[in-house]
Amino acid sequence: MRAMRRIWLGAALTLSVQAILVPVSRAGPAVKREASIEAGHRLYMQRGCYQCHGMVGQGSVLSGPSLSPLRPDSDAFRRYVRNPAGSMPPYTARILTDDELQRIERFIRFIPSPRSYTAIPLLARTVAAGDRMPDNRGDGPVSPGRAIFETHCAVCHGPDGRGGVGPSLLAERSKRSLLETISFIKDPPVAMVRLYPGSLSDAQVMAVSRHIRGED
Amino acid sequence: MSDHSTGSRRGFLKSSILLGAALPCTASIAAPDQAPTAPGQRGRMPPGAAKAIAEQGDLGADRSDQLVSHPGSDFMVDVIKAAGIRYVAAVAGSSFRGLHESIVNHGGNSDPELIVCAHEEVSAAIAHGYAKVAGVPMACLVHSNVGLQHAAMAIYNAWCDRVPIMVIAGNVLDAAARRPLLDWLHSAQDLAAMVREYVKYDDAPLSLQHFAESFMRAYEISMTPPYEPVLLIADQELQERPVEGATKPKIPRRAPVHGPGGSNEAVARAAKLLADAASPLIVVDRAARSQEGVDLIVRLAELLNAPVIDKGSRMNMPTMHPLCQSGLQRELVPAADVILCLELTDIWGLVNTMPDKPSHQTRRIARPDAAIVGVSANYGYIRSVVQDAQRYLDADLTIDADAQIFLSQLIPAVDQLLTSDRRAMIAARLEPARAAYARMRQADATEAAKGWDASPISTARLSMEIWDKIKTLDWGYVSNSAFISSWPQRLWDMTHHHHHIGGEGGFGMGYGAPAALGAAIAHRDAGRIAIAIQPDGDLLTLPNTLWTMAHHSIPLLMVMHNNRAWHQETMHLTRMANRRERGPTSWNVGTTISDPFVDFAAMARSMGVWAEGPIDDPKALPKALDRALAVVKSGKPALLDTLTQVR
Repeated sequence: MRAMRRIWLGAALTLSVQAILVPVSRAGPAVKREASIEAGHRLYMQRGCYQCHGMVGQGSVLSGPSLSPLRPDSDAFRRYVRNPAGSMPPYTARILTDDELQRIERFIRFIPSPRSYTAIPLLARTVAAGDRMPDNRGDGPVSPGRAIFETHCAVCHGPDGRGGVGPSLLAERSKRSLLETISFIKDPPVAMVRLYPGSLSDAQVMAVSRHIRGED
Repeated sequence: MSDHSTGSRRGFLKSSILLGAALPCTASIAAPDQAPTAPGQRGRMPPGAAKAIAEQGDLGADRSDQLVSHPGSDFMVDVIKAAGIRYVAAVAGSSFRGLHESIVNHGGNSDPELIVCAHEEVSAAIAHGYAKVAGVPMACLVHSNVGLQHAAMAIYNAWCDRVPIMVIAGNVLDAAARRPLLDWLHSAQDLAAMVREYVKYDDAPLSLQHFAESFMRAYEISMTPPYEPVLLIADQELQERPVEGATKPKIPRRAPVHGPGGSNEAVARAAKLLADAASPLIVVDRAARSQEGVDLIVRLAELLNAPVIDKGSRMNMPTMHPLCQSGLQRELVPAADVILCLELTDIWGLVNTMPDKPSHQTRRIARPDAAIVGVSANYGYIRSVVQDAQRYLDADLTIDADAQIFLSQLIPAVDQLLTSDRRAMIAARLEPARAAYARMRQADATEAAKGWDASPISTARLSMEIWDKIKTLDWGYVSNSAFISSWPQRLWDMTHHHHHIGGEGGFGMGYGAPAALGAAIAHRDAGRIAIAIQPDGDLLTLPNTLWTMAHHSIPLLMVMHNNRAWHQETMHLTRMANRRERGPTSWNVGTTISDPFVDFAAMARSMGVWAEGPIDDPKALPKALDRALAVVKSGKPALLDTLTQVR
């Protein structure tokens, strides 16, 4: 009876873990994996390896290092898992057999290498942007308001707001309140380009208004 | 007395209510004695005058004692207005019914405006999040006993996070004034005792003048570093009795307190250590209270070309600055010869390690000869019952001062000590620092690429898809990012103090959604878009926050970090079971949110919030984010339920 209960619990756990996590195992295009890799994957999830090292071995600065790629050789890997450093719990042979550990290792080594970040535009752009010195001396990153100004306003009012085809905006703060500046942009005189609501949202009008007034 | 007997009191009351309800659509109402009586309806008719007099006394008698023309709570609202409080978050409660009514009718429900909540923990957490963006406290109005107990955990979070909140609690101190039953259950002899260990000041005023003065004192104490929640009891009798006496109570002006700076000696010693250091390191946590604080940290870092580790309880250091090297902590701490710690929660934990092992062995990771300088307004303010003080560290120089104020003293002192030779040596540090920064960014991007195409969605992918949509907007990130591997701090371009508000402070569950909502109110008022990456377990604690969000139409983009677990606990359970060599697959019992899964999108929609999901395909994210952002830009909240990797 107790044995039956253990089997039922084991089955329930597998189902439960898979229900939560199986969609997780997709790490890109489906790759046909041999049975022992699949078994290793299941063990990796069931024994909680993924909890700290991620479902695709990606790791986390909060919980545990990436396992992709797995740097230690097999012997070092097994010794470490049995008697780990840091906060990792030990996986003794009583709770994880040598065979199970081997399957988990095979799965980890099977995890496909990730793409280089340079092939992912969102990441490549971030790194390519390099560092910036701060804006506390006026030469720092571009505020959202300034970016909007440069895109939509500078062509008439000049890059520094000193005027061009359109009037200078340098005295805007002394001429109008913030709300009046916003209203002016939203409902401009005939000669001025209407940017709201087509080109600019409420938040963007607010941002550029604050920039014009030197309040960003 | 039967309900059906003609002229019964209950029948009369029923009829009165019916008449009242019918009043707007009735041209005239016959006097009760003259009302026609339909067959079979006699029992529902009002009583005659004689019976009414017999039951109620003389109906024509003077009833002016029932009316209150100048209630004390009107004055309380005047005080709240005078302090500049713009919002009061509250769940309605009878112990502050007078104040509630005054906010609405005397104050016009504007400055302060009532933010209607369904749980006092939400009220306090909204105030917590609001203050971190607005830089000023919101009030949070709670019912006696039960309401304050509900709010207690959120107050504790704010206390650990050094955030000001004006908590106002109703109460009936005078036993003779309590109505039977409920007023007794919802009154306390010393109400503040329930939370006194984690509020900085409390008072229970006995007069309106006392209330006004204590309110201003409470406000200033909460806004004097270390910022903290404060509690004021608004006695129900004081609220509901008329303002008495010929002399109206006066509202004192606010008297802002200049916070604590460092002594001349402390400033000089710290400056000397830093000026002479070969490898100085600056570590910051709640150091910047405003943009001025960010600018000061940058200035000191550049003066010394010293790397900065931002522990992230506030936005302290622009993430694109080459000296912002939070990801290099493991290299920087052991290499530093002087470590300046500004408003750190845990200095001991910075320079030592204690892995989660049964032996509790510790090891110092900082150099043995490294000089540790601690600066915090909390050195002079500590409580005993709750233990947020962390482990004691015998630092080389410990300064009881607000870090932001101290920096303004320290920078000129360091500058004065730098000879041209020293400046040349310091200048030579910049290029290696920039190279280290570039390596850190590349390493972060390399890590972010792992699992980029995985489903559920990696937290790095989720963060970067959001970033791609908000980077040209004026934005504020209003949730803790520790549980998503800190990707926003590692990869987003955070430049301003309002770009990030840090986390819970006390790590009390349930903070995330309401604090994000409170922060979103402040961002809305400043014309910004607020974005939260919201953990599922946290939202499950206080889901009614969604209703408040919809009710007040707060523009907030909430993207779920839905890993279907209280995931930190899965790791703890595995740790326990493995140590005991049993139950290697039992970690999911009590730690996962399954059977059934929570449909967060349906939950949000049921409370009036636009929502989509669950989404587990990363390729579906950009368009879903576009749709959600369109809703937020229109001034409303939106929730995207995204199934994510665990961390």
